[in-house]
Amino acid sequence: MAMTDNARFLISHLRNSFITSDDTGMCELIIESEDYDEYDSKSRHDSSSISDSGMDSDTNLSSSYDILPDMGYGHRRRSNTAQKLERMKKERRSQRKIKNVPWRDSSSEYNVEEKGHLFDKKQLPQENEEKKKPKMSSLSWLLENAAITGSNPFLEYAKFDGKASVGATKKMDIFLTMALPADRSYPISVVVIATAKIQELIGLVCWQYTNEGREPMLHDNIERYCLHIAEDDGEVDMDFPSLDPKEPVSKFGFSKLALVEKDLPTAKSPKSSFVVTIYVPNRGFNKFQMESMNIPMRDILQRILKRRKIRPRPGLNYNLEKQEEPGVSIDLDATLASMDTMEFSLVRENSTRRHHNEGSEDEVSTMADSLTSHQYKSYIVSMVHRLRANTDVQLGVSGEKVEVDPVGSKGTKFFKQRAMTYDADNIASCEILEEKSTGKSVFRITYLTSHDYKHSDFESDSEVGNEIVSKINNILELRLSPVRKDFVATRAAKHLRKRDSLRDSFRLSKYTDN
Amino acid sequence: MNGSNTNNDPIILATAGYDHTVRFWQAYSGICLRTVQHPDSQVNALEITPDKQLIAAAGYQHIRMYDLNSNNPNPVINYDGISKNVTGLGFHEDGKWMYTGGEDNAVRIWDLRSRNLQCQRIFQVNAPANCVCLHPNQGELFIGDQSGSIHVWDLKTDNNEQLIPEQDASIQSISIDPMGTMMAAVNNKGNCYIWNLTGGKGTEPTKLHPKSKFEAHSRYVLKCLFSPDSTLLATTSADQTAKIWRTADLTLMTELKETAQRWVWDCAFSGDSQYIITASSDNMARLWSVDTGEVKKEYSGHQKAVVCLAFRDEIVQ
Repeated sequence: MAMTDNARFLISHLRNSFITSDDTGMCELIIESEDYDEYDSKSRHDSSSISDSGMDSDTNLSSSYDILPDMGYGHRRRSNTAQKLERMKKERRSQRKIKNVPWRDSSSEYNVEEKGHLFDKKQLPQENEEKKKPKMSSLSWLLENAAITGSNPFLEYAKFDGKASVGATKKMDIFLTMALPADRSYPISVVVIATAKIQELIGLVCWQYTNEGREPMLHDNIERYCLHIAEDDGEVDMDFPSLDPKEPVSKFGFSKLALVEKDLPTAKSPKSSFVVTIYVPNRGFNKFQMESMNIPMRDILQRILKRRKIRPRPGLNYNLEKQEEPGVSIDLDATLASMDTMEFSLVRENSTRRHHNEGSEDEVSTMADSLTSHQYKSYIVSMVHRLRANTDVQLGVSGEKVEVDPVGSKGTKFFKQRAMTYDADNIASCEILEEKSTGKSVFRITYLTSHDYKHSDFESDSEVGNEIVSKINNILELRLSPVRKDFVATRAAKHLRKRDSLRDSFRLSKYTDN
Repeated sequence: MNGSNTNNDPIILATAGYDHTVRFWQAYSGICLRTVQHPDSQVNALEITPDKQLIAAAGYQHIRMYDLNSNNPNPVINYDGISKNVTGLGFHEDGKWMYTGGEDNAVRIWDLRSRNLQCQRIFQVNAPANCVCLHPNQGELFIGDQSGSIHVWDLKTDNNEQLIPEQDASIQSISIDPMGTMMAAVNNKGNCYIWNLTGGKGTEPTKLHPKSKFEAHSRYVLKCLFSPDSTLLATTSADQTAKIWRTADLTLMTELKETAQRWVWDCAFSGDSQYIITASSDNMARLWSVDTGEVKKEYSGHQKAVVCLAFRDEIVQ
């Protein structure tokens, strides 16, 4: 910045600024023709006194720094100074509206004769009869009346209303999916303080809704509601999960949201605890959700056989064992409730299984691995999503396809992990993306849909991850589908570029996750 | 000014404290209606002008006045030229002048009419003034200071008297009942003193007749206040409670206690003495039923301790 106390520099700077900013050239003509020296000699005695400004005292008029034309921008970006000046100006403007009254002592001594009348004592009424009568104040009246009309159960969230507070606020339009059809397309406008959490925003919406006397009445518990991203026309975007209630409002950039009543799994929730795990020796395990604990074990056996597509042949019967008690077949007519465990192992009759801990994968050679690759095996892994928490899925890998099935009943009715199937011939690659220090690793399956490569990321223990990746790669190698060939070829060609963009996209996904 | 309907609202409730804001509440519902900034300083005391047009907030070196009937977030008048904290303030009932007391050991009378310094007065005491109370006769100021003195300043005659109810006990608050017959003072030892008042008419100064002394709280008492009907006396304290005493026999009527409540700094009665509003360090103001001691409303929104409030109610019927 210019040293603003150097008059000579300033004048030269101003002249130059005029000349360079005037397209017509008029300024140049006029200013250049003026005699500098005239001013210069007049102001010499001044400039000597101000030469301690830090600028060279012999600054030449011509040496004002060049003003570069803007690089094609319409107007100059505002500098920090300009912004600061504007802020000060604004402050000053609001200051100007404030009347300032400094303390001033009275010009003259206080004098009873002169000023005593200003401080006369007032005659207080004696024992006021009126006082004896019972009275009511406006506040009491309002309190009693408000008690009749009922209070707003969401009052504790009123404090997040940005309309009555100072500091950063956020204005949002909230569509109400539970409102009467006529009102549904008109959102309510909410101003929330920026530091509030999503949960508190939900409370504020409920409070405002109730305050405005809208119908139908809401449930008192705000946990029954969640906020979804909505389109401008109020259509709820169910492809995205609801906003995390623990996150601050400021984290999200959406200005249109929808209040959605959660599909409460009231009756379902106890069910989810009846998950039976059945291990198939050396071939992973399957999990089944049971409707009740009174189901006979025979039914469970039928399910696992059906799932694994095992057809019992004569002389080749299957039975179940408790996972903790190898070698002891269970009574298939007994109910699940009588088992005291939810983990079982599938065994073929007349064969024994090795204890599951001993069945070490290390002994199995890679050759055997590639041979068993086509056999179905399922794993429980977490699917990595960009915008929300990971969900547990069952990843079933076989020679024909890779299946992704959701596990558990988490998530709303609207956003449940969909079951997906990737045909083995459409899978382009499978690779470890990241090994985490926590012993987990992230792997990616890239596949072709119509003409586009897409990918899904999963997280699991490193060991399981490696197994899945090698298994799938074995399958890919054996099948050598056109998709795979194509992918490998393109990748070889664009090796460097691909890697960069992969890394970028990974970084991006990490960024959005945080 | 964009006028709003607060003008018609018979009830005004404002709270302020350490978070540099003044909040206005719908007293019966607990909804915050408006917040204004009080930059650079906590608010030590709040008072509404008799004409209900402005509210004055006393802070460090300033008294700022805000318009009650607009949404202007900035003060409209700023009184300054004081070297330290302003701890107490109030108004002549006709709005002729304002009185303030502060830590600069001075009590001041400010002329509220612009370009007129007729009323401008100053009264020096020997210690920081903690509280200033105007006698209902509008002619005498009672000042409590940190050294434990109570000064009675007759504004008309400019005479003053001084008394010390208890040595080495800072006077925290003084209250005179609306009838002008009783005065209460509380100190940092937890004690409450009651006097009967006589005189105080014309040029005759008010005479104080000691009536009783009792231990109101175990710790600092921060505020005492007579109810509008003079039958009750409220004391608020650092022991995290407020207590309501019957003035007839000085027995305890109700104890206002809440587990979350911390120091209770200020209080105000409803016009019919049925309810009391308190301000406390847990960032809350509360409305209590005087009879049952039950919390009826909570005013939550402040980010820091609430140390003062201003309340205006009206009598209907």
